[in-house]
Amino acid sequence: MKKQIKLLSVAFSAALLLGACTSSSKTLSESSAGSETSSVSSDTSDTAKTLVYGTGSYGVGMSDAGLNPHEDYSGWSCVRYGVGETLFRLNEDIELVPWLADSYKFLDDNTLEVVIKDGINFSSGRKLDAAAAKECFEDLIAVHDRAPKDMKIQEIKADGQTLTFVTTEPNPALLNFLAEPYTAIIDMQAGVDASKNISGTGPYKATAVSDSEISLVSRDDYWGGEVSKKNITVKSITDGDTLTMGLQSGELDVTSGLPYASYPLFENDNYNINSVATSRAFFLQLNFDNELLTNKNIRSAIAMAIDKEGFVNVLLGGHGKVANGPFPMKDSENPTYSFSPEKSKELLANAGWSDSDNDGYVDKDGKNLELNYITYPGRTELPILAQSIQANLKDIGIKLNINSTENYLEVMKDSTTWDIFGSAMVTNPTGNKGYFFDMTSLTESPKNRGHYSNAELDELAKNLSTTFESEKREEIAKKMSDILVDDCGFIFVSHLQMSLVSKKNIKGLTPMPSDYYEFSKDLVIE
Amino acid sequence: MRTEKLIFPSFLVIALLVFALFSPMLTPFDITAQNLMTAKSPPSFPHIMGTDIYGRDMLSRVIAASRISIFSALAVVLLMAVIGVVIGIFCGYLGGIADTLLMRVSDIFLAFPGLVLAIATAGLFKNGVFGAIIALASVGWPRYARLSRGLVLSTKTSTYINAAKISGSDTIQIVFTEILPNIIGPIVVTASLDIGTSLMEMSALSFLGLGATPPTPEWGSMISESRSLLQLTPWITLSPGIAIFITVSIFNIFGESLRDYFNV
Repeated sequence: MKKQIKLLSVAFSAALLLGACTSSSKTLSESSAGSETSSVSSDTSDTAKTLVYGTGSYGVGMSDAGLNPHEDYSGWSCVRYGVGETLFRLNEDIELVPWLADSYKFLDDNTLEVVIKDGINFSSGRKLDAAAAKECFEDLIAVHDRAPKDMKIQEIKADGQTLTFVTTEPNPALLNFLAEPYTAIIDMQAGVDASKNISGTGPYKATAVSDSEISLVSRDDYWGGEVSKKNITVKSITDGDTLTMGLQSGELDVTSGLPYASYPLFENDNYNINSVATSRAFFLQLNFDNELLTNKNIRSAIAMAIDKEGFVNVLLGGHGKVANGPFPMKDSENPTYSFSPEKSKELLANAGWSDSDNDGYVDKDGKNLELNYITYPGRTELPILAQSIQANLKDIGIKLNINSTENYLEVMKDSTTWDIFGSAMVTNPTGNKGYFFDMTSLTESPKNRGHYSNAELDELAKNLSTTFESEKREEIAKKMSDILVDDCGFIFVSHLQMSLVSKKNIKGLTPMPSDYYEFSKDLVIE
Repeated sequence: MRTEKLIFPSFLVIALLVFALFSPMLTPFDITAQNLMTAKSPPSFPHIMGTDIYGRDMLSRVIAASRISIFSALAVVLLMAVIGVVIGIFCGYLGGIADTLLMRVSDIFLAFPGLVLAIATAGLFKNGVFGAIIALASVGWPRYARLSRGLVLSTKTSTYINAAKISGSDTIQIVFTEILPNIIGPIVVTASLDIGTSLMEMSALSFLGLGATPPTPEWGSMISESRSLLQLTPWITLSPGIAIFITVSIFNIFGESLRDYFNV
């Protein structure tokens, strides 16, 4: 019996030893396979390097998931990531320059003729001619929510490389809308696949698209010149801290939307911070359904109580510019409502509000001046702005209750729930300044959430919509901006600086004021 | 000897509660006053814990936050203990179909991770801290119901209960004068140990934006607001973190000494 046990033990030990050997030899073969793979991948990396880009600006929450420009704001993703291109683009000064277009001319107030550059192919291989562009624009007009109203197209004609737009009424802003990312020209014969991937004319084509990630490869037949061989992965990362840590750990090569508080971590020789001033404004819409806010003294008191300089220089860490209107101000211009809490208190006193019960808040007829502020946390700086304004208004005796919620649009449907709406918006996305007023501040504007109404502003908007001369358009827009600011219809706080933070070996990343063109053919991984 | 061991932890808890109660009067600076000139100052005199991004004194905010942070945790524990014990005694003593039904309901609650369920529940309430208290209490009661039901089942067949029944006491009298005093020890111990956990959970809900609203300071929301600053200005995040650590430790020490006292 003992012998049997001994034999069994030996057999068991032998089995274990054999198992260990087998397992170690397996590990060895696995590791050698691994080294093969890694050598293959390093071979690949010699020819096609990989760049991982983390951004808070892509995804369902931003309404730009996918690459189909004819859907919501996905055109931004299509153009931003170098997949699609438009007939015109905006340069560093937010001026229109031809891109896929070679030349253009207005034949009359309702007819625009655009000649498309020759020798451009979609990533599908099809040649871009006027017929292909016409198919794309016709689909855009048929399915997009904003394009038909913006472009006012009656008919599109195609002849060789010449594309002719006929509008239902004079539309001086049509050229600007031809730089809007939703007009990125895609091959409609190749179509839009289930993952919302498309075939465009840009330097990159997508190999995989999802709501949270896009895989891109460089094209070797790009019309604009040679594109260095690389693969790009765009990852949607909405949490600013994750972006910060991703870039620090080396998991990400480039980030967009990094919290301003994290910038000092990257202000060293290992990283590049490419910044540009944009027309993205942080501003307050006031609710004119609240009778209190129809009093200009109260509106002006609020405007003058806000420490915009402090917000920009301290809370944004200097990554912005004080705003005194919807569009970035020239340095020579004087602000209308500069920071003056004392003047604010005077204005409140003029409106009959004073702190009669010494509780720190001004009151009238036994009721404190209390307002509800609504904002959303999607832009990290908005809740910070809210708390800063809360402290500023407390200094002049106004109590502000903050509600920072992703559900703000739903909450705002009940106009009694809010008095001030703190939001962010690109005020001049296509070089057409009328866009901001059309969207937010005219009596019938879709985003005029506080029901602001000014007859003079509405009248000027009508003039602007039929004026073709650019100087005159600029003049009218300036006048409209002044009216809005003087009337305190809206309160503008700051314009943001946009930055792309990357590892040192990433070159050719140049953020543009319009926030559309992030990946170009010049993007290089060294 | 057992009583002596309870003195020091009890003193700490009472001191903490008195401190939290009067905390708004103990702050050296205005907790909401913004002074951007002194923003993000490191700990130094007169700002011993430094200042936050708005230049507000961190020590004052940590002190002021103690009231809402600690008392909301106490409210959670009290609420879930009361609800749980009432249901537990009812089920344990009366039994029957109501017992089966309520225990199955408690099984459903226990099947979910508590904090996840609390997050979902807190989202239903508009009011920040109040909503968070209700949410945590509504998911925490089954533990107390289970515990008290078990204790009732083990005592209800005791001779002194039978004696009370024979002497003509009604159910309410038996529950309050015979059962409750005999099962309260383990419940109090569990509750005291739960205060620390509840404080952490309240902080977690506030961290996720489901608790206190600005400018009311609350330890969890203070950490949440400053988490981006941990690498550069750690004192803004660590100050409320240290406060949570100290408070949870005190309540845990108190709970453990209570456990020794009741010999649970």
